[in-house]
Amino acid sequence: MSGFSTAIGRVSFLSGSYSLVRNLQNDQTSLQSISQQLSSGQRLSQASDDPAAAVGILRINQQVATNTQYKSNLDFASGSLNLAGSTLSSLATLVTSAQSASSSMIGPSVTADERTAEASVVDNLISQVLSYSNTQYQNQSLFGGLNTQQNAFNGVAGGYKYQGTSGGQSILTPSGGTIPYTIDGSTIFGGVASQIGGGQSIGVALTGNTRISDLGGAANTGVSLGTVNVTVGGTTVGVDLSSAATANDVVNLVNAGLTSAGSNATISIAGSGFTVNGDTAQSVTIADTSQGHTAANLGIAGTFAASSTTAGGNVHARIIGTTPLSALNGGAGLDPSGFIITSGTGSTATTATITLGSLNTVQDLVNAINSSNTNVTAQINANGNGIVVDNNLSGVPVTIGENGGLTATQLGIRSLNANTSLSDLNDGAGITFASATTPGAADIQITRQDGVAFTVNLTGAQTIQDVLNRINTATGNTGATHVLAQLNTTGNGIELVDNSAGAGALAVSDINGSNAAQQLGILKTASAPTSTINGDDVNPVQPQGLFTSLIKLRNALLNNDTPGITAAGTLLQNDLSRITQVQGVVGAQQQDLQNRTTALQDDQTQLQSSLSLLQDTDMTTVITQFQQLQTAYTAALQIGAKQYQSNLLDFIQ
Amino acid sequence: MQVVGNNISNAGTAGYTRQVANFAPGPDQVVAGNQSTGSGVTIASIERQVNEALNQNLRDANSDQNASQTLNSTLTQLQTTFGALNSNDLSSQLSTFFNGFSTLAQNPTDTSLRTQTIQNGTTIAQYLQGLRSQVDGVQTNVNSQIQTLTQQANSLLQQVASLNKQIASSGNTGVNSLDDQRDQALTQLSQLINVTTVPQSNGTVNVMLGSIPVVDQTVSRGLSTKQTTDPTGQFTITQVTYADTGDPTSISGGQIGGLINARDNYVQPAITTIDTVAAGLINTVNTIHSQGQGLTGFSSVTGTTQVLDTTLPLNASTTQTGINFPPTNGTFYLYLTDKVTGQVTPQQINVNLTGTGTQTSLDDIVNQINTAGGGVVSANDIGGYLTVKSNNSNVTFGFGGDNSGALAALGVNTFFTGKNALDIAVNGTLQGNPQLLATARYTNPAAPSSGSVDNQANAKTMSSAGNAASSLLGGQGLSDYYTNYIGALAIHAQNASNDLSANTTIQSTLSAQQQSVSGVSMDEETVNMMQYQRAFEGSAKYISTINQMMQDVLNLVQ
Repeated sequence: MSGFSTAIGRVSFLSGSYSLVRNLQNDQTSLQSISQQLSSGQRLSQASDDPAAAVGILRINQQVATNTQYKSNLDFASGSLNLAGSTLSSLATLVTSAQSASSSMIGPSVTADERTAEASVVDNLISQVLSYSNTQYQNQSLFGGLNTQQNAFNGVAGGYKYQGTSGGQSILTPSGGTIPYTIDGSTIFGGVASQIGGGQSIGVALTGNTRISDLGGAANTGVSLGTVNVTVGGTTVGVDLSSAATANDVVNLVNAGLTSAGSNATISIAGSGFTVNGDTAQSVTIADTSQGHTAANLGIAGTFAASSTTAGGNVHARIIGTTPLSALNGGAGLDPSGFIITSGTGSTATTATITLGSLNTVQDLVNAINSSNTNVTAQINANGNGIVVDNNLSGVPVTIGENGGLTATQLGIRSLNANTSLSDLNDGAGITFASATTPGAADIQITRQDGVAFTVNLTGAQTIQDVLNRINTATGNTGATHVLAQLNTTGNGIELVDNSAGAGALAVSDINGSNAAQQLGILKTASAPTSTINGDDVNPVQPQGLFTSLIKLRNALLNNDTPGITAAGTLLQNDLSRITQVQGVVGAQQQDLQNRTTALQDDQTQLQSSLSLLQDTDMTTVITQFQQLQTAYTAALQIGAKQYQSNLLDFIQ
Repeated sequence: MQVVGNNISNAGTAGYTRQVANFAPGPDQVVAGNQSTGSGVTIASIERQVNEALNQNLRDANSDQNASQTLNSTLTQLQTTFGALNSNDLSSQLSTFFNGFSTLAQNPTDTSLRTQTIQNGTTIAQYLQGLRSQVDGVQTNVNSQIQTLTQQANSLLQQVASLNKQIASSGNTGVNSLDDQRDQALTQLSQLINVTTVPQSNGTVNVMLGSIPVVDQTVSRGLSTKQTTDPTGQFTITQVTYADTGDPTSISGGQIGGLINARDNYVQPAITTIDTVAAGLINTVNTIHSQGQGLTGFSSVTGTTQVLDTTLPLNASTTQTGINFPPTNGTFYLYLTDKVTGQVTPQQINVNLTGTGTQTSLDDIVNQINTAGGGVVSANDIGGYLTVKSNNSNVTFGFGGDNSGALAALGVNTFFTGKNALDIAVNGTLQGNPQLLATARYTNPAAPSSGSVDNQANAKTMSSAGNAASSLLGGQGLSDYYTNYIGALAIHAQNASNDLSANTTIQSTLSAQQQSVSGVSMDEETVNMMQYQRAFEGSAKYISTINQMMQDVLNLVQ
């Protein structure tokens, strides 16, 4: 409310009334504003009443809304973790009871029938584990990792297949961080046997369609695109590559830059990187700006002499779904003969032969493997330099071998290969050497068709390649009639080829108490007319974990296999430790959520009080103002009423 | 006495200027020999008590005060429209919309949550449309007020011209009431526009609008209005012109000036802000949505953007292509999903907009999709809309990994349609099938599989998009952009309110001063009246004394 100057010389009839009306209006405006504050309890009726406070209110309201949503997410996550915690507790109890079942079935007094009966109890436990593994929280698979839309585990082909992913669900914090709240099923139940064959880095040729974001760059640290300077005969042209999305874009942009710099030099795509084709007449320099590393990352930095052709560095293209198979193996492509996947053993085995003839891209290959009904999962590895084939089916082992060529080896997915460690064989049981009981003793004896026999000492051999070498260089295995040991060209296992001739049969036997021949899958006698022993793949891969342990326990009980029961008991102990560990993680996450919830509530209280300070009426002050204004208004009214009651005319008689 | 009577009876008449009778001694008359004496009193003139400079100041103050009042009231309307302190303002709507995706991320397969999220989209789209139409309404209202007030100003100008004519024709004498009428008209005019007056020797005044005369003595050029588009070409505005030439005026004061100022500097930016928020929302949400996967794949999809020329590069000018959010150089994936085996095949589609080589047009995209689809999935752009369809009932398709923005630009797998607050709406495809709401992403967009899906990834990304910086919003997030605008509007409104208060005070002070000079004081007039009464009484007494003396002389004769 502002008054106005009345320091004037003359007061006229109207100026008095104007002034009165103006003052009354001022009073009324202020009274209205104050009574609005009082009746609404809000200090501001619109933003302009206090712009700073209004912006503050808006921001706090946004924060409150964000926090309210965050709270709802925390509650949801908390519910999920609580369910996971209780499920894990039940699971731990179940594993303990399975352990006691296994230990009670070990003693000599237990009969085979009792063990068979106990096996059905274990079967029941397995189905309980399956139901725990498929626990749902609000219609979502709790243990499916990122994929919550289908059951985490599915009973197929006599085993239990993990269908989820690694990793877990998470919520976003208001500041953009993530709080995980699910644990993937493979961590708890052991659903994935990763990387059959160990995997292998496969060189990739650059293609025009390769995305720049899929390049590791010359230093394999990624490519950051910026400007490169092209210098031809003293003329420097800056070429901005920041908009390039593919290798072709780089070629087009750099070539346009070279042209505009007056050069007929070009760059092109060749092999694993870019090639610079020098100018026919003069040298050309491609260099980075002072801040950039683009040219270096692309492997095209340097000075290129006239008529030269210079292959730039390997830009480490990553393998992606659309990578052509022909670009693999450094651009030489893969052996098209393919490989054989075998899931399970004996009569129930499922075999799939994947040939590469009709496949064009890596994704085609991955899809062919994934849809081969062998329950393996193929994917591109995290580094983008190879293929990973996992067996997700607990209880069913998988082997991968060649189909007459080298494809599996090229891809690094051959389950038994030269680098396979002997200690991994036979489900981790390894090899029992004769030297363990008789130092220096040989392990196997090989008898040729011509009747000549020789022994092989495998002591100290670490890998399959070592075994092959020991056989091929064994004393007595020389000359044109030698026995050649190698990996199978079809299927998998060690192959022994007898180059001698005779009426006998090629045969392998264990000697000196060794189990090596049997454990290497070559305890065989070739049947005429063949002179070759095709060994078995003794490195089948299957997931280790609760399902596998229970299946092993059940099978051991059914087979009346006491050492098997004991081994399964040990495995169950491992499973229990793992579950206990996960329980610890879940407990810590629950605690974390609880702390965050408490902090959030404090934060909300603080925000609400700030909000109240900004937007709520300060009743004491406003009521005092109201009273003052009312007094002023009443006074103004009284003056107004009296002001024109009399004038000089009244006093003229 | 008549002047006093006139003053007293007009004491309460607005615009009446107090008059003062100036007396002068009558002419001398010879009384005896060469002795003479005065012949009494005559009325020399009856003058209006005016201070022209003060009147001009007051008119200026009137203009300013009215301009402030109009601006203030328009800004109040704008603030009320935005309702920033209400619980359902745009800021709250944005929070609700984006938080909805956070809730959906908890349970992305829940159909009711999906429907709710899409409904939230419809709500915010309708809210933005409503907000835009309300502010449009403010602008329309301002324009029509300008038109009405211009008619008033025009008739006042004619009145001034016609009064000028009467005053000039009566030789500028005995025209006090005409002067008063003219001053009154000028005062009313000053409430509408900023005017200055230049008195002429013949008693007329010229009225100037800035430095241009609008009334020249007895002729008014007149003011008129015409509908035209503003310099940005975005809005239809009512422009005030000189009626005789049709040239635009520059009015800065009075109610009309206030309205023009409010419209050009506050209402139009408000509309632009709402449109920018809508455009930012559409583009941000669509860019994220187009990267994701719904619960089911597409069997057929038609983009919502009509491309005017399918042979032009996609980043050619919007007027040529009809694409509101042009893409940049990049690539995206078309995913073909075999529903029987669940296997997904990615196909890379290149969007070459580097400026070198063949620049990608919609036709090129269609060709690439047809090649990539291998007959199973095919595309066309009949009518300028990109249509992709599966020709095999066991194959669905999807999109992702787009770093070009082409999918959002073409309206494929998008959440919103439209370009600004006028036409923002939820994509009808989604409304028809909430399962298509893209909540998931492949964990590796370059190597997808049906199992390697992060079911909540896209919904989570969307939930934090309200704060994501957008180039359309000058690098700010949606919430910040809106909050900053509201803050600026509030400061302008506060300034306008303070200006109004100041201008009202000035106007009141000047008005009091003007009244001091020209207003009627009852007491003063009464004193004058008593004075004249005494003078009259004196004269009467003199006459009666003369009469008595004459009587006495006559009595001597008898």
